[in-house]
Amino acid sequence: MSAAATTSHTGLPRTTATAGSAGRVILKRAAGSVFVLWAAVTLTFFVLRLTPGDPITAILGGAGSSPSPETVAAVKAQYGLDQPVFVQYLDYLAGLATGNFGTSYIFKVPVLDILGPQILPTFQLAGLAMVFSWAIALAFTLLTVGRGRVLDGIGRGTEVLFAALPPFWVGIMLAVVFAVILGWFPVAGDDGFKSLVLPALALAIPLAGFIAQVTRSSFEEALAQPFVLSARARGLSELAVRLGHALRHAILPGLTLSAWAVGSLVSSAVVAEIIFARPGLGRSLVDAIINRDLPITLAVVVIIAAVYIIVTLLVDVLYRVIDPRISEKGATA
Amino acid sequence: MSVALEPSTARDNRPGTPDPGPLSTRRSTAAKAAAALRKTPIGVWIAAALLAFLVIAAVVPSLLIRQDPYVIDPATAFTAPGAEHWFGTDQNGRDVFSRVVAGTGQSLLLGLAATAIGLVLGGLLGITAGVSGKWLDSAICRFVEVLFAFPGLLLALIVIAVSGTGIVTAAVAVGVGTAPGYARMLRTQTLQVIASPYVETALSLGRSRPHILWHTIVPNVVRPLFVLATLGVGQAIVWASSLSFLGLGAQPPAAEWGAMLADGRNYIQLAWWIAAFPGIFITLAALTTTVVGRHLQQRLEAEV
Repeated sequence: MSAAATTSHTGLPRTTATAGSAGRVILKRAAGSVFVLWAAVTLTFFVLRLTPGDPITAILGGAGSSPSPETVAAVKAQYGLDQPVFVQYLDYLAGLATGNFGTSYIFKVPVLDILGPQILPTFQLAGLAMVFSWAIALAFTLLTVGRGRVLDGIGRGTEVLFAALPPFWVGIMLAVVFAVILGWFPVAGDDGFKSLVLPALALAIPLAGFIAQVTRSSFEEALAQPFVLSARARGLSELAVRLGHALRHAILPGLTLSAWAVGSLVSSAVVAEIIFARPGLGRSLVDAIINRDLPITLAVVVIIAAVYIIVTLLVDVLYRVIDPRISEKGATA
Repeated sequence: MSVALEPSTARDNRPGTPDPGPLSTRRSTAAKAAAALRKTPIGVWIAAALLAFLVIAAVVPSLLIRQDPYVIDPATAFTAPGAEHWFGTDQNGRDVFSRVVAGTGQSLLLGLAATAIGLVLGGLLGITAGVSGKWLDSAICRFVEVLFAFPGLLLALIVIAVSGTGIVTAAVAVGVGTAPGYARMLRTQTLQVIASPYVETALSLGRSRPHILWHTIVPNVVRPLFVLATLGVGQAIVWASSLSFLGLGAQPPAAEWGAMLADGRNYIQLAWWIAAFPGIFITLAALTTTVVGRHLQQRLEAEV
């Protein structure tokens, strides 16, 4: 699927001479991503098999139950657990190809029936958190970089502080102030945009600290470049120089960090989902780990890994489109 | 560049570190140290002082603890912060300040243990890849790349799914979660050392390859680890307390910061202080180790 997603970008580079090699590079990257995805699925599948305890006990309602041998045999056959592990693995891969993630041990229904409704809320949350963190990071960069020692120091200090904040604590404190005391937002639940704001902020504030540190140093470098001096010499205002010239250069390194950020947002969404009692993949994952529901655990891991791999690939491609100077070697570092 | 490294180590070094300049080489070590101390920014001093406080709280909590952190006294439950109870009391009347101090040892130890596990695993992979031939190097790189497919807490959660909940598992889980980042950094570091003049000199002196590996490459790769570890501990503390908060690490009634926060969350509308103070201490631990670690990193880079 990632290969299909990239082909639309291959036509974009500027000259035909580089377009051919850029296309080849991107295809190579896409193939690499497919390999990594397959390896990640395989690794997770076999590592989760190491979990102590018999899956039959989990399926048949915990250690207290004493099912008859016939029931055990029937359940084993139903879940394919009577097959050798390698056959189970091949079955799983074949199932994945058709979008079948198996059957939940606890809920006894297809995994996708459980996880399907959880996917969108997590991505809404992660998406809004991403928007918030970029907004905060860019505001810090534009307002404090190169604006004198005091502002610069405040910006720098706040970024380090933000990056050190634990998201779950930020979430609880936001809930106390803005939901309990001020009543501006709901304390919990999944009820439209308003219920999304606080959990998204809880994830966005620490992330903004990381992004702002990266954009700050590249913005500082950009402001020292000759093209900024020449723009100033042409009489452009400070704001025009910052927005029109320096910003573009400052965003690029932050963009690379964004792939990492999407991955960490989707996987750390779990704390926001639990604090604000929202549905989502992270919450399903923690519940599945506690209940030892292997098919759901495996499916959530596979979904998050797949999203992360695809986003990394897209950012890589986008990076080449924005900045064609990048050579094949430079981008691998 | 640092696409998917651990965030705490992914930042570029900032401009503005005073360059010691060519003169500094002529000065004595003592004078250099004194100059370095004078140049240390005030923020780093504050961070170092707070970190020293946390270390004291971790090593000799009895100096600071005012009440037994585990004794239940329902009569004083939910007392607001004041002169008697600096951070208030929790739902069982336990002194929150004493509990936060009592939890420092466990939380710092968890962060240190996780970082140590991450560095050892990452070091084994990264240094082996760096010194090996093409085949093993690319095999390890591929493997690390696959580990990078599990972002953030996900790798740690997989470890917990397999080995169950608990404080030891949490340390291992966070350690495994940070290992790929360290592996990548240490491989790069190893390659740099191999390309350095020391190794060339050792080779021209006719030293054997194992000798060079143990006496030249490993020490030079490991030396900056101390700084990396300082930077990593803060993030490891945040991750480990996240796991405890989710009920997957330290379990109540343990006075571990993440577990205390999870506990206090249930009474947040009644008594904000039960959850607020452990969180402030997690932030302090992460912040001070980051500030001090970065300062050490800049010093180290300025020396080289």
